[in-house]
Amino acid sequence: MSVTRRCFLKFTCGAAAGTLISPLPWKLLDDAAIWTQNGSWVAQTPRGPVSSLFSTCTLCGAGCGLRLRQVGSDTVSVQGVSGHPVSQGALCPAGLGLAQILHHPARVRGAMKRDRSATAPWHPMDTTSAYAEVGRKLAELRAAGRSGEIAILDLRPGRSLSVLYRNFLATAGAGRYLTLPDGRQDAATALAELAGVPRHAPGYDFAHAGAVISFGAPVFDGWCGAGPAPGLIPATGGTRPVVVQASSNASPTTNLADVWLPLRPGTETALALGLAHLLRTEWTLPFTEEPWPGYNDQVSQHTPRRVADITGLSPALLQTTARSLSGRGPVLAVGGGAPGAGPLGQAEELAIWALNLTLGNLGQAGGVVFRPDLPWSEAAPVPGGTTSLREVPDGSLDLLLVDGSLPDSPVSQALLRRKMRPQSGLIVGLSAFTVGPVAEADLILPAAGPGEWLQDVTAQALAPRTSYALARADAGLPAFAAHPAAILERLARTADFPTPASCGPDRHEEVVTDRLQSLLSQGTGHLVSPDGTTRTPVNRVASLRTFRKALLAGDCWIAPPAPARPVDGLHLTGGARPLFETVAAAAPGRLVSESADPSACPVTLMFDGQVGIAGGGALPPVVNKLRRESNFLPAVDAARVNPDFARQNGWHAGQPLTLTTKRGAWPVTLVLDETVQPGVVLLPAGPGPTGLGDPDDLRTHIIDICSGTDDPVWRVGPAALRKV
Amino acid sequence: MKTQQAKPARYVMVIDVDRCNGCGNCMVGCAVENNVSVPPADALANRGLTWMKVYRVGNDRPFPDHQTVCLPIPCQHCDHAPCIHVCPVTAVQRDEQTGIVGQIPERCMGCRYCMAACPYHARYFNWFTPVWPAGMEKTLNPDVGTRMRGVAEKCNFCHGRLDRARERAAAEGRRQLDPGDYVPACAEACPTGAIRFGDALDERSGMKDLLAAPETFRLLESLGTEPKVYYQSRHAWVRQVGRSRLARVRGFETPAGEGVTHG
Repeated sequence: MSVTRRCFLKFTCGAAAGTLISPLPWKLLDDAAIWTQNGSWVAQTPRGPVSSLFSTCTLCGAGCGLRLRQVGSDTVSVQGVSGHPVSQGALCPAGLGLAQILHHPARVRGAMKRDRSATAPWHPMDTTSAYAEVGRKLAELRAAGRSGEIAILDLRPGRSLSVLYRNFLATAGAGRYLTLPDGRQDAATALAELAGVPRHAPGYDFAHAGAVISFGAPVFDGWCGAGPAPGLIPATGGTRPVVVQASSNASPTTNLADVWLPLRPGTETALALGLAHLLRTEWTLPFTEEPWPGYNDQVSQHTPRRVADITGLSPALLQTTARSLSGRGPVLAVGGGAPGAGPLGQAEELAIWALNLTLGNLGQAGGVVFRPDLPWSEAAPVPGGTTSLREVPDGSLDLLLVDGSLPDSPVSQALLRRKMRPQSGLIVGLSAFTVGPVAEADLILPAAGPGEWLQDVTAQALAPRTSYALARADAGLPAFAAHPAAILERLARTADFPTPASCGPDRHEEVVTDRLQSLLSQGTGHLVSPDGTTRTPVNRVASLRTFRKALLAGDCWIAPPAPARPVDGLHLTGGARPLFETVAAAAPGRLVSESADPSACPVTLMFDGQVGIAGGGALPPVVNKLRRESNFLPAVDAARVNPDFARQNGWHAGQPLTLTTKRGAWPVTLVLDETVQPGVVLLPAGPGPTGLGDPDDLRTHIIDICSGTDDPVWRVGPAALRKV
Repeated sequence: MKTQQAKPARYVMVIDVDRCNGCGNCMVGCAVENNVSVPPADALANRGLTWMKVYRVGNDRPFPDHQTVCLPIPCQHCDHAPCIHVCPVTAVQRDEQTGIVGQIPERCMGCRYCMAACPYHARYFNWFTPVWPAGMEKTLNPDVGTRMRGVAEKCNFCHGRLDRARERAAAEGRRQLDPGDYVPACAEACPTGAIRFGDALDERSGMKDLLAAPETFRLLESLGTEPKVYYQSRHAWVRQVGRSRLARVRGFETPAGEGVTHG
């Protein structure tokens, strides 16, 4: 049989057509698609035994419960723990991305140094040389009798590591132990300065309050840890306190509050005094005792009409608000400022505390409760003393070691530098990241990150209950990083300090163990399981070993509820009269709208930033991604202005403008935002889009460049806007 | 032997807009759970992947009467999903057992018809090969595969979690899932309880009452897509925006993939 050309073509075409209707080509296409999606260039997910365990977050001081999902020994996801006794299941965006943080591209993977400028680039440095350089400086200062110029800035006091910082300073000679100014802590301190009551730390009992008056505190937005303050979001069908939010601009908290008082910027003092006036007249409160001389006169003078003139709120709104609070049970007034927007001033805090006193809620359930102290002394003696960084004289420090914790609020970089000797001052960061105050450092020694070393977490300022938890070292310590205590010990050895082991990792373990033993010996409180389902009285815990094991498994020690300690009156201490004078001085308002540039439009400069992020990175890449890709967070140079105000001044969206303050002029881009009060320009605080603490990141230095660092109340100030 | 079949489910999500504080936890929780990658730093803002995206919606009134709410928008898992009908390679399928609209990246050929068809702008395109910083692959969720460049992707109600829940139930000898066995990452991450999720056919889930509530609405209802993501708000203006004026929402008006740079 011969094969003709026609037969050949028929066979070939028939075979091709037959193949097309067979599964073969589709199978090949499918395999090709699968192959292209499983090539070596496609990221592969980890494989191994999956397990889950509980721990505590240490990114900030809130102490949120974590459920870690692990493949082998690697954490692949972090979730909140529903029912957790401290966080109630909430977690912030940074906490959800916690597993990524340790692999952050900006992680400090070796010692780094740079010229004495926060904008200079970092250069890698041999770790041994870095320790030698810092050790030499320590030894020189000690030998020259200048150990008072050595200081440690502890960003999260109260931990076991804080004890070691103090030990280090003690063995150095006369070093100083420094803390950062913090709005919530300042609020607690304001009360402490008023009277002898708060020998115990105050806390806000939202869960039992009938109503809450918040003076700018973002109570629905992570102010007391992730999510709303405990007790402010009820279960479906439940009730929560009525919330009155007094703040100049709209925010998530004003959206969720029952009443919003859009007061003029910086007029919180007058509002607090005015509400005290209204509560006395509307409620006829049996208030007779004067907390300090002249207070009652001030309250009497702050009639609704006068307060309306100062705050811009109508007298009717003030009266309606005061009436709406009546008959709801305990009413709680809350200050403290917002991490992103800055702290309230001392005068505002004092006026708010006095309002609480007027309301009669100090020491009462649903009011300001006074928490039992932890059974150990926080204040190990430091020869050089303990103080806030702001109180240190300028140019008085020659060596500052900066703790690597992540701060809750933006930190003034210039404030840090100003405390150093101009030529010789050396700032050394003990950190895993170049963020927060460490962004100002001259030299960085790589430290362990969150989850890489055992940490303890105590209740943060103004939390309603005293608590204690451990954050386990589940991630393991990488070769390039060291336990912060190991860094201290190595520095102490390099500088020939007398007892270097007193600040080493072994001592850290001992301090943690001592603390656990103290809690166990005290025998009060409960050991609560991470999901809140099991509560074991501490006096039934068999041994220290069992106690430690439980805490390492994610349990929390929770103190008994704060006992009712009714406070009838605050008794003046020595410095109270000047304090009251600050209240009287601030009552007319802090709104300062004098123009720094006569040719420009005067505006009131304010800041905002998302809670949990405002303080700085290191933010997980996934959080940065969403910040960039959503239209939810403002751009780095965004100056948000009310549309009507912009129209009056002939500005339009996207227009480049120049913002002028007494510290200089900066380019910004106009963004129209109806949530901003007319006359106000709102700048974003916190890290920029990369969240890496870049030297040229405008937001890293926004507080310094746009606000006076001499003024602790940087949340409101005068500025001017003009066209380029 | 006769095999007992699991009852069909109809998984729905109910988002209480009045509870949302705009923290972004849902977006982060979703991205972590589903191995959503981070685009290059110089990429255009809307070329990223956000299976769940939170928009800010205002009532257009002047200060201080201006009100703003946050509107989280994932894939709406429509019963009549336009993306299913336009896909030329059947890479989008609706699971009749659960009602979940799934995306099969291995089948997707990247034509982006589905993105053009989706009225909710809830589909995203992989413009870049997914790359994680060195070492970060170790933090990827082992239950969810990574997708390659050139395919579309979207929310699938955390299907990996549904599979895990089924495995756990099977290990316990159960065919049916109990309420709470299966919760997507966004609902779990929400600190205010604004996102609730459950089987509308299961009386125990409580979803039936939520769906029947007068303040419940769905986005762009008049299109007849029958979404399974429901919203709730006591504000009439929010319901009106959601039902018929979604295009006015800031950031929503730009179709994904068009060139808009971020600030």
